[in-house]
Amino acid sequence: MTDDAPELRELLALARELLQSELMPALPAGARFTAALIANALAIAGRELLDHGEADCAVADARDALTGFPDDDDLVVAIRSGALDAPSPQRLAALTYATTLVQRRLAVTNPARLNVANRDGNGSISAP
Amino acid sequence: MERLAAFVAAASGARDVRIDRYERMSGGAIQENFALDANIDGRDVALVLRRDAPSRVAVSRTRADEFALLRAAYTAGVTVPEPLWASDDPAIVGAPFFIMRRAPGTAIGRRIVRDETLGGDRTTLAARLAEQLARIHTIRPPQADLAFLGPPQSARDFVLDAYAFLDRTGRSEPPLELGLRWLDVNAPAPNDTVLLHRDFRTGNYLLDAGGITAILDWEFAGWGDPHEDIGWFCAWCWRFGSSDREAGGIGTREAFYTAYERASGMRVDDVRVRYWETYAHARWAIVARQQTDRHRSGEQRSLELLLIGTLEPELDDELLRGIA
Repeated sequence: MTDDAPELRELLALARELLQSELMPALPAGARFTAALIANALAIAGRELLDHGEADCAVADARDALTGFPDDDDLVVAIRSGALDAPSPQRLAALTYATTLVQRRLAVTNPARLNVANRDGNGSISAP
Repeated sequence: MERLAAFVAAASGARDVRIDRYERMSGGAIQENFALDANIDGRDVALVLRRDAPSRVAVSRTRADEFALLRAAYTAGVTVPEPLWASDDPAIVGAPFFIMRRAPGTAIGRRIVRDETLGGDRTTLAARLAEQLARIHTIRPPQADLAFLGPPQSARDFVLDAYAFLDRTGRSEPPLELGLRWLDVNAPAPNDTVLLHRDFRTGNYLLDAGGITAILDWEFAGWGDPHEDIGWFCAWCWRFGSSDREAGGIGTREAFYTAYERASGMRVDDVRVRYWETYAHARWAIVARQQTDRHRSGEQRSLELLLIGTLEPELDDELLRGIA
């Protein structure tokens, strides 16, 4: 992450705020949907600029713990072949890796879901 | 517009047709819908023209097939807009299309789960929706007009298609792959085979103050186990934030099951429904990737399509919870 990140985040946050507070109320309904999509895109871009070092480490650690598959292509072949069907430490490690990977992505797309008990989000792309 | 007016005149047998409005409607990342106001021999008629989009998700059907499905549903007594005329002549509006009557109401999922003036009492609405679904499921193979549907599609067919798609894109997706493998191994043996809507969910039906005015979006329909549609309707990803109302963000699961059982005479197997809910997240996750790919391929540049791709992680998350 570069040192410019905080300023870029502020830039995106302010752009989003103005879009929502000044432009959206003045727009007709059809254009408001488009504006909501843009606001959503700006929020996602802003979260991409956060420091994800810890989550990246968690992914790398979970991947390291999953031995026997040099890369994810090999892992996919093993999953499809049924080699990871039965309960085993390796299946558990694969599930842990998958979960960690999804959590890293959620930190950008939908951080509300990072809380295990939370099932926020709604399969909808224009959520406030 | 002259060509369209001439088409409507020929199709309806009218002498005089005037098009007063032809305007793109919002919604529908896959097709393009146009509000069409026509005056046919002196009578104003509110219509919708549904046209193929520049590019389509691989599994979605053509407008001609969707028209045949709509006719079958209309005949079976499902609440759908009356299908009127179809054409595969691209010269009329730029792509194949069909025309149906325009039903009043809104389909916006987030509004429907929050605004109870739409559709009224929630338990009743959940029951009405279950009855609509049971009505769709009265359509059974074989049906000559629906021959294009081909054989029933199983969970295994979906998994194999998903593998082929993922291989084409060259993406390794361990979370999704674990889910797909689980779906393959745990697929319930098919029991009954009926017409499935395959996208029967909040967001795909129109409501006004009086209740359901139309079941929309038939392009994914095919033959299969009725539990698949029930699971799709109940899946978390279609509750639009009202997660505690497990039947589509509208009512309780029990109210929905009970009404479905009463209308269909079929016993709802909860274990089967839960399987198809897990399946729903995998299928939506694949469709989300396909939508993003439509943008990436340059076929259709769209912020909406790109944002649908950002739903992948939460769908993968639900999928992993389903197989845990």
